[in-house]
Amino acid sequence: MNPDSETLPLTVRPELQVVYWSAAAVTAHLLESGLPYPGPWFKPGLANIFVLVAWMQLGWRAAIGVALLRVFASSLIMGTFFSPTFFLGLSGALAALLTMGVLGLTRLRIGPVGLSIPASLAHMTAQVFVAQELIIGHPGVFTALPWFLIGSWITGLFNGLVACFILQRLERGGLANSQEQGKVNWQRGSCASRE
Amino acid sequence: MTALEAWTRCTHVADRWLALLCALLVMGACIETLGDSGEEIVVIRDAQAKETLWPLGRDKVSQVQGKLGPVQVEVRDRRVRLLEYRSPRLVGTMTGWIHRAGQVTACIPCGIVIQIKGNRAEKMTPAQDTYDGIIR
Repeated sequence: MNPDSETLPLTVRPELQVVYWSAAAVTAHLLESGLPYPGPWFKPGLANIFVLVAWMQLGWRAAIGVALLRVFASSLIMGTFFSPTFFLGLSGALAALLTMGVLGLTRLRIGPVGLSIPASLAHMTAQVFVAQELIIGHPGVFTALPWFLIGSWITGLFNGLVACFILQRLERGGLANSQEQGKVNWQRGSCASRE
Repeated sequence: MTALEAWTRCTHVADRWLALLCALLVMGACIETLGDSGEEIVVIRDAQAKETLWPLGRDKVSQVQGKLGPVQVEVRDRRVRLLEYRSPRLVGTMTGWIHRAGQVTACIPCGIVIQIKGNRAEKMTPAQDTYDGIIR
């Protein structure tokens, strides 16, 4: 083992990091889909942790790449490509990205938790709208939306905190050294401990 | 690390305000939904978008035709549940009993949606209540 390995900066090209985060997101999505969960639309959305990390570390383009790669790759693997499930996932991902984009446009210093909770609510709302339009065709589903949003708020908080811990860990571990080379975009916000 | 420490370490002021704002928004929506209660009826919408109204207080087991086959709807003790025979994930069955106005259970692949309604606009008249079910 190289004795300097602990002190050497770990630099990974941004495009490779997008691939890594996408792979992690797809893996999380596939693992999660096999787990039992307490009710419909109460999946924790662990894949979104890696979208958040990509957003904070690499910027919005990378996050869009990770989110779309996750949706397309996981649907291809699970055999749900162009099925209603695919469109539910795609609409949720796009709504979450749009929300994060709007929040990113503000001058506020928003970290992963602040991005994650509104994005999670937008994700759920978009999914229910698409389910109502494409599948159910019954407005009654909206009466359940507020209760689904409670679950979304909790999972959004959890995912934001996990993303924050990953980012802090990366920073300590050396990946954030690429920030010094201008490859990491922290401008949109960061974990509070960085201040 | 305690939860409070984790929260402090990972959030800015803006994050906390956003979290609070979102929580208030969700709570407001939930309170709004809870307030919409009254005489409770079960609305069963089948795969052909045909709606059947059913009094929640009258026990009954019936089958509704879904896209993937029949789905059993059971009303018992002022609760209703959906039992699927053929569904990829049996989400409707796993949802279990629903009993409050505004709650929904559904089998999306089957196209069956069951909702308990309690608002006054949907209130059944005593004359309607004498029927087993009303198709509209």
